[in-house]
Amino acid sequence: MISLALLPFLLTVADAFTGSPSLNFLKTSIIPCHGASTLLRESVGSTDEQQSKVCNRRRSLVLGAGGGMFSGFFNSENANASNPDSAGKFKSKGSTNEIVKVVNGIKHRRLGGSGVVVSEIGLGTQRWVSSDFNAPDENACFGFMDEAILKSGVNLIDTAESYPIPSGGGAKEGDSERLIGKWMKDRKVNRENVVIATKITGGRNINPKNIRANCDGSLKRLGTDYIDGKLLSQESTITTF
Amino acid sequence: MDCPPTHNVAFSISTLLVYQLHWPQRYSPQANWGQSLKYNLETDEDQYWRSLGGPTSFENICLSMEELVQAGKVRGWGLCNDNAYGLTACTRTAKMLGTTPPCSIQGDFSIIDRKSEENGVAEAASKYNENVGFMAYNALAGGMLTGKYMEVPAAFDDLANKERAMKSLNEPRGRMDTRGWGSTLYRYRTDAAQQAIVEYGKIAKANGMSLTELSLRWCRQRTLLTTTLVGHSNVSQLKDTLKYFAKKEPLSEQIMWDIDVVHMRNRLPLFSSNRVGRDWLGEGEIGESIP
Repeated sequence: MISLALLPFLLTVADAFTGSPSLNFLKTSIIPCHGASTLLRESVGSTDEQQSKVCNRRRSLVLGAGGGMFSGFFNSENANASNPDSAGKFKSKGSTNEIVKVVNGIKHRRLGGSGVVVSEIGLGTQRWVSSDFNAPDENACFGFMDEAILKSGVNLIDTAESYPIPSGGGAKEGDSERLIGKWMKDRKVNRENVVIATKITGGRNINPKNIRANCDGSLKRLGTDYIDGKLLSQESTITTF
Repeated sequence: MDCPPTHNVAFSISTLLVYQLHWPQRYSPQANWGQSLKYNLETDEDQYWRSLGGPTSFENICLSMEELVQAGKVRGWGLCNDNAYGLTACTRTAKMLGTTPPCSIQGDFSIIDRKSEENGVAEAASKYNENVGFMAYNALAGGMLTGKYMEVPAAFDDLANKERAMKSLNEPRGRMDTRGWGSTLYRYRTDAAQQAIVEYGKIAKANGMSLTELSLRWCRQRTLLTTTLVGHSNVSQLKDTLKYFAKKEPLSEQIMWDIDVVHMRNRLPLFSSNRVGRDWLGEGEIGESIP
């Protein structure tokens, strides 16, 4: 049984993905879902997880009913006590780790309460183009991103301003970010389809001035001056997650 | 659908960037790097941390990150190598200020390093509490969980067989055989870690899969994890990883149980050492001050 309330949501996801010319060979498979619309967050899941989730849901429905019966006994202020989003301007987009979609068999999960959705496997880049004896060179790294992001269902790359490690010789800090920027430009990748997690160096380096300046430095190395307006407009719906 | 944004806006939102603090702004026991789990007040009293009014406040971090969010430069921000205190301090400060809370925390995590599930991070990160995602790194423990150092130990663990150790150094199979990483990544090669790896290798073999596959698929099934970050040296390794992550079947309950049984023998193998000496500034090889 597919919840009717969920259908427009799913179509939006599918449209957003298949509409991308640079990635139109990516097949976004939206798996059929069970459950009532009130369980929307949990109702997009893999077939394997469904059995146990259906059971859990039944259990939680039973417990939920009990909780309602006895709720008068508890402090009613408790309702939002553990919800960190109940005050302030920030509104959570949903639950962390909820499966939002499946791309080429790889699950994509919400990252915290944000609108960012990441594949459950991401590319680690610490040693890309580093001075290690067996470090993958630029050509190999382009191959990793082609394989994982363009041909498979991966959308996450994790890097840092201090990568590659180890640096030295021909390898210098910032090269990992530059490499990713170069690849996105070369492959004309729609940036809305790739999540890049990067890092500001820690400890006493972290202060308001550096957070501003170093972020600009990372953005520059990642090459955000490249933009494909046409793709962006087609993908704008995806930000509603 | 809305019209395409103007170029200025388009510039700023063109990248889905998650901006993380590589390690905390403050002193905190760098347990993720195999150093002490113990908070050391004397270290925190050091001028490195106390000068210039001490580390940047959580308030200033939250406000600075909010500036980046409002400018459209980042979609979210997060923490790395931090703990339940840093995580909760950030989310609660953001709540108080009405700013965007961190969406992620990243840490060392693998079948031989389950501490984040058991030290309050998982509880803090839960959707029922601070609702923060978790990114696991070193899920293959610096290559140890590929099993390639199982028969012939890494060069530095093979001193009883000097000839073989020299051969490993000269023809390294991976990072563990090199001088730099070999000592930095010692934590994955403690006796306790290596004993656990042997046991996990047996479980993998009994179930017709490689230790790498067992280790990565185990990660995928942990409720704490939003994503597992994996580094590769060549594209054939990457293809294997992708194959494991595309598998529909979870590891069976029996396999998960067998793994738990091994885990219970030593829940912190990375932080155990049989090679502690007074020789390294009173620290053991693991880099941890002797309590």
